[in-house]
Amino acid sequence: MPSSPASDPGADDRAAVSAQEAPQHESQQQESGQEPAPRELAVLRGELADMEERFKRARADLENYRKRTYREMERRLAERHEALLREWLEVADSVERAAAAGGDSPLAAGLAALRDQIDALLQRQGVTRFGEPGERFDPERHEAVAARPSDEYPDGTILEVVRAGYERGDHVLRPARVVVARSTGTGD
Amino acid sequence: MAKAVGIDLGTTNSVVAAVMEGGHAEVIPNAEGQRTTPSVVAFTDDGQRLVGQVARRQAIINPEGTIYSAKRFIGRKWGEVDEEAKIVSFKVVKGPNDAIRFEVRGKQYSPEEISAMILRKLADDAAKFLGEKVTEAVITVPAYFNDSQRQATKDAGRIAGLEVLRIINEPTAAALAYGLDKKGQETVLVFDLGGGTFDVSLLDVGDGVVEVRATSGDGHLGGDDFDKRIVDYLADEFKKDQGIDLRNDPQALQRLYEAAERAKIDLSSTTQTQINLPFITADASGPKHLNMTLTRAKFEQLVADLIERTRGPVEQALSDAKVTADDIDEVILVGGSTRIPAVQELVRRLTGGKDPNMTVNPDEVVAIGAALQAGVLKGEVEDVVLLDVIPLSLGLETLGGVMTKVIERNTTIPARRTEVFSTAEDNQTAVDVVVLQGERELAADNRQLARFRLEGIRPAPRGTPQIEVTFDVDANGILHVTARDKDTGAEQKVTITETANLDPSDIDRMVAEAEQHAEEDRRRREEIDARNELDSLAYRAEQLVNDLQDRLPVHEKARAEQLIADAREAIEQQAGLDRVRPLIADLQQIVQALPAAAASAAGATGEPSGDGGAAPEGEADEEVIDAEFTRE
Repeated sequence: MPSSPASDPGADDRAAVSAQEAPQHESQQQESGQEPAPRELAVLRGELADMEERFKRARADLENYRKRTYREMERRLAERHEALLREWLEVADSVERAAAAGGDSPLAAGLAALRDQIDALLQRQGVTRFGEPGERFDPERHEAVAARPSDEYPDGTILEVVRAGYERGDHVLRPARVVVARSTGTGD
Repeated sequence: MAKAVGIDLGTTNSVVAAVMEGGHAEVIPNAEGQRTTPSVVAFTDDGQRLVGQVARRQAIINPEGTIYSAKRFIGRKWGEVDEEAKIVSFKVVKGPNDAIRFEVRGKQYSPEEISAMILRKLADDAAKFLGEKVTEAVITVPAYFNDSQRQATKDAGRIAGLEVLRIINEPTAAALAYGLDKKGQETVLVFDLGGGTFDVSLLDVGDGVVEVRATSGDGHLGGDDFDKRIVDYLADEFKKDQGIDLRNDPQALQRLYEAAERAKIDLSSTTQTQINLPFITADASGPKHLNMTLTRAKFEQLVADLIERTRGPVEQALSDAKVTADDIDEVILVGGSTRIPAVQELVRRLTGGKDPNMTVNPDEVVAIGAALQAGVLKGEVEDVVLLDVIPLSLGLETLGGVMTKVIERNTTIPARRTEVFSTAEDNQTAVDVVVLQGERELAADNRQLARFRLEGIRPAPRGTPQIEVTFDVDANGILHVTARDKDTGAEQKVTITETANLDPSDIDRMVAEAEQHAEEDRRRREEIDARNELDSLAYRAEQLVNDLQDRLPVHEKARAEQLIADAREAIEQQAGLDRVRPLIADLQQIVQALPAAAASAAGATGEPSGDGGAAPEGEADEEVIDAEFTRE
């Protein structure tokens, strides 16, 4: 990395030792000084303006790229973070299933405690669980895995949550998988 | 400013991309953060319209109101698609003039309208991401689409409020994404195995023109079939073991599908994978778990016939275009399923052993090509200046004969980098600048481009002079190296033109050699770095001993001097890490302990400022880059 100089004593005689620098000749300018060649001048001015425009565009592109890359990096970081959380949610699912299958055994009590610990950990990451029977089905938050007729609930009500949903703030990390009430013959 | 995008409007999934800074095309994630959007539209019973992932999530409770595969119907006539109409879960009816209509709750929709809703979502999400309006698009269609299907796709764009700049063929877009249109005349085979369809196309590409010579395919073959094979295998095995058929349990089946897809993806990069689905089901005896290992070999056996089904269409396309496998110049893979090694293997065999192009994500390559086309039509890509990169790293030889890279390989030029170096010995008045090119860690293994000397450095303790070295590669690949003493302003420079004219095969060889020797080079470099560190520590310890002199307790001083002597000897003998590392630790400890020892010895007289002098000097030392010039 270039380190910025604290003091620069050699700044004034910077060109002193350059071996290859040749003195500038001014004679060329004097020779053609009579005719400025207006057409050529206009062409050159046009080219200069064009180059300046392109240069500015390139600089602006770089600036915009830098800004977008920064946003993109933040987005990807969040995405990776969530992907990792999502993978671990599968373990939470398994613990939940194990606890449910355990009945009244002491092991099941231990699993319930483990599940609470996982929930607390997720809570610290800003992740909360959602999805309860009786809620209204919302495809933004729920994924229907089956439909079942119900006498008790109107169509579109969640009858069973087969896999909990998780959200982080107002962002759905993973939709809840649900069984939804639906009387046969609704679709006319 | 409004932006033109490229859209790959697929049968199962769609992708949108746009040209970004510098004429480079990128895929734009949708509002949910996904790079692909399911081509699904749903109408719910409470009158909502859903598009994409959300529509798919409610498909099972709304099968009649969820429209998918609209692409299979677009621009077709009633009677042409009876088979397709039978497979889908929604109602397909006859509209005016034998047109196809989808009927949901008594209301009719044309395939164009459904496609328009998908296009609208893609364009809206892209606009949100880009922060500017999206009003124009290039949309891709399969090469076999007829005029009526193309027109209908264009109409879909118009219904979505987009100006369709052009409809282009999917394989053409893939060829554009690889820049093949800029090469000479070539015959290109595009092998597209997506989620549910397989297409193969033969193209004539060159001089900015792409011509489709033949197409073939299978309308119902893709990644979904592969998943189903795994699911069936897992379910069969489980049934054999446990006597329960998981396919009868929708919940278990869903988990099985998820695991199958993941296993399939894993097996593209590993040769075996674990499938763990604890508590997948239960019977009277208690909960059941699915634990299985799937090897790549087993997977390939399960899908062998599916992969084999791609052979016919490829051979058909070749014979229709009247070319043989040897006439093919390039092969492009499109669609996620082409990541499967067995698929790539078959493609290689069918195309005369050619290595297929797959550097662009096969799920995204069509949208990328469409975006590039949109960029060209809008003049955004036209003026892209082609920028070169330096093929090999450029650097300097520094203390111990190592190469310190100043500009890394593949840096886009023009580029300029400056680093500050220092001297290796006290009162050194000249440094040799050795300019190197290559990837090896040791200077001697790289190519020496130039050597020059910067003189007139004012005598000073080692590490004090600041010599600024600037590497500047101009747009023509010509390297200018300047070394300047910041103290006196003394400067020397050299211009090297031969960095550019290296044979590509030489470059490949040098890069390959560096990879081959990476491990051994790293070890040697580590040794040299450690000896350099030891050397500078010994130097600092010596300075401290000299500064503190009589204030040091005799035994401390003796110990320090012994350690310094040991260090010098180790460096002299080019000792290995096992000897150098402990010495570094001992010396570090001594360097820290000496001022305190001096202070406590002088404690009686009390001289707190005395020990302060050494520490900041040490820190200042570290500011200078560790690499130092060799001395003549």
